[in-house]
Amino acid sequence: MSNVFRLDDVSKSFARQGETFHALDGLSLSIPSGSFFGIVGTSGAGKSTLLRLLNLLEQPTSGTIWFGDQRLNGLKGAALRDYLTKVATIFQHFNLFHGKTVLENVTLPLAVRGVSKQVRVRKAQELLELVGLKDKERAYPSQLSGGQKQRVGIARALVADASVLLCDEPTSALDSETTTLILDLLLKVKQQLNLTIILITHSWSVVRYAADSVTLLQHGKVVENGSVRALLQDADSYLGRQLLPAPDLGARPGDGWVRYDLILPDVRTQSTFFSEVAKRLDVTASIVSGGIERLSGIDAARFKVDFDLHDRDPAIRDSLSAILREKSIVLGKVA
Amino acid sequence: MLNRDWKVYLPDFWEALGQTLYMTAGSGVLVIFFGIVIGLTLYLTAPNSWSPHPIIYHVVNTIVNIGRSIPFIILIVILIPVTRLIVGTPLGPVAALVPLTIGFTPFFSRLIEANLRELDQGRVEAARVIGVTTPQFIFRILLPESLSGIIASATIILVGLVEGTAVAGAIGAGGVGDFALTYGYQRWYTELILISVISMVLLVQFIQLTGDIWIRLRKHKR
Ligand SMILES: Nc1ncnc2c1ncn2[C@@H]1O[C@H](COP(=O)(O)OP(=O)(O)OP(=O)(O)O)[C@@H](O)[C@H]1O
Ligand SMILES: [Mg+2]
Repeated sequence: MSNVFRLDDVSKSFARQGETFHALDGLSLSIPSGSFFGIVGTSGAGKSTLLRLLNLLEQPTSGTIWFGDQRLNGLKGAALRDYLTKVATIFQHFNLFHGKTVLENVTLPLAVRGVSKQVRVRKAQELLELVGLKDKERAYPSQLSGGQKQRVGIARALVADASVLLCDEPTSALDSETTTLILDLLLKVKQQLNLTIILITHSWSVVRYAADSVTLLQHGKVVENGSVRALLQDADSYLGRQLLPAPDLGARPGDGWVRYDLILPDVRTQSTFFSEVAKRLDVTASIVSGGIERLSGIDAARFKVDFDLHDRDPAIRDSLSAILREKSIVLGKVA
Repeated sequence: MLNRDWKVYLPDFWEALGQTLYMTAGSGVLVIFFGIVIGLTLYLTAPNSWSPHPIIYHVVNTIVNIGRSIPFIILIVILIPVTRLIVGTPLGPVAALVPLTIGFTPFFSRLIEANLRELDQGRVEAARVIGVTTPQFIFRILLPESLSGIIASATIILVGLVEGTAVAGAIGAGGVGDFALTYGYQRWYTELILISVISMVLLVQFIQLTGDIWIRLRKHKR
């Protein structure tokens, strides 16, 4: 898969009280095109700074940023405006223009590019229909709810045919139901318009729900990075464990029982997994605890399961381990 | 006594009122125009603003501060040679436009600068990532988004100018203030002071009300 963005050893520093502070510190990262790319990290990790380099609100102090084969460093004037038609941004606080109606907000990116009134109104109405706000075109932002404002933000961002949508905490000002609706909308427009979406969030549930790739930033560097599926299958991945948290351990397994900590990457096609294992080895399997999460559209599960190997041939331990590893990811074994 | 006075002084009063309206409106247009231009310059070139330019900002900022620190009555006197140069005479309502405009523009520029700063950083960044040019930013975003504040400031400055015309009247600009001083102060015709004051009060009320109503009509746009 090709990359929309590639950052090569990028640093961004700010002067703070006479000292130089590195918001980004030699960060290298590739963002696959067509992905729903989640960026997580603690407050101050440099997430917003990273995004602001991509929409050129900031320039890197050093390093190179590529958009395909276009070098973004120092881009300005007409070339910058042209770039900004392809890479659009939505915000945590929506940042709609209060003095303009919904329709005027959405047509603005076209108006400033000299698109004729007839064309831009038609295009804006299409987008408003797509985000489900067709009946609000004459309203002012002050008359809308938070979720509706973000929908307008999305319509405004996408009206000029962007291929990348940058989102800095787009749902942090919204309640959880509205968050789901907005994420559903982002998934829908991503699909319909063939977008790459890059989204910063504090919320693991947002990442689980929408992202197919995740990057963890810390102190201006990438700590972990990969597709959700790959991170999930990596027993050592911190992100993988956050995406599918450990269920309760329960009481210690009984004498002669072994306990496994397992991930089933796709529950829907693996619903008979435990009964198959039990049948093949003629053992009793007992689920201690478990949880299912929908991760980038597929239900994945994590289970703690006890198997009764009391009075069995020691070789059965290896067979069990082999069978489990065939179809699931074994994170750990408690003897 | 009232009847006789009216016949003699009413035409003078109407003329004076006309001069006040002329001076207020004329200097109002000029102050609002120059004030917006200077306020925009201050806003745009300030550090960390749309297009920072330390030299321009510093120069304009200093001029505005100097302008604001000179009392209006003194400014009128200092400006007499300038006024004579521009208008030909330092007397009369046309000549008064010069000190009124120069005297009130610095303060109004500051008001406008403060109004423009009300536009939060978020909306400024939204404008940037939409890819607007500087003129587009000014005319499509900055001024329209700040319009309610600008109207409020214009109301303040027009009311101030009504008062300014009275001060200018004291040194030969004419107008209601001059009328009141000439007939009221010097000859002590109380009823003439009274109608002068009432007419000024009505004018100020009219300006304030117009501004308030206009702002109220824009309540959704804030
Ligand atoms: N313009 C600036 N001037 C000085 N310091 C800055 C500037 N922008 C960002 N920083 C600093 O850089 C660091 C990273 O900031 P950034 O906004 O990227 O963090 P973040 O990961 O988005 O955090 P949050 O989750 O709180 O939004 C912070 O310590 C911040 O104070
Ligand atoms: Mg941030």
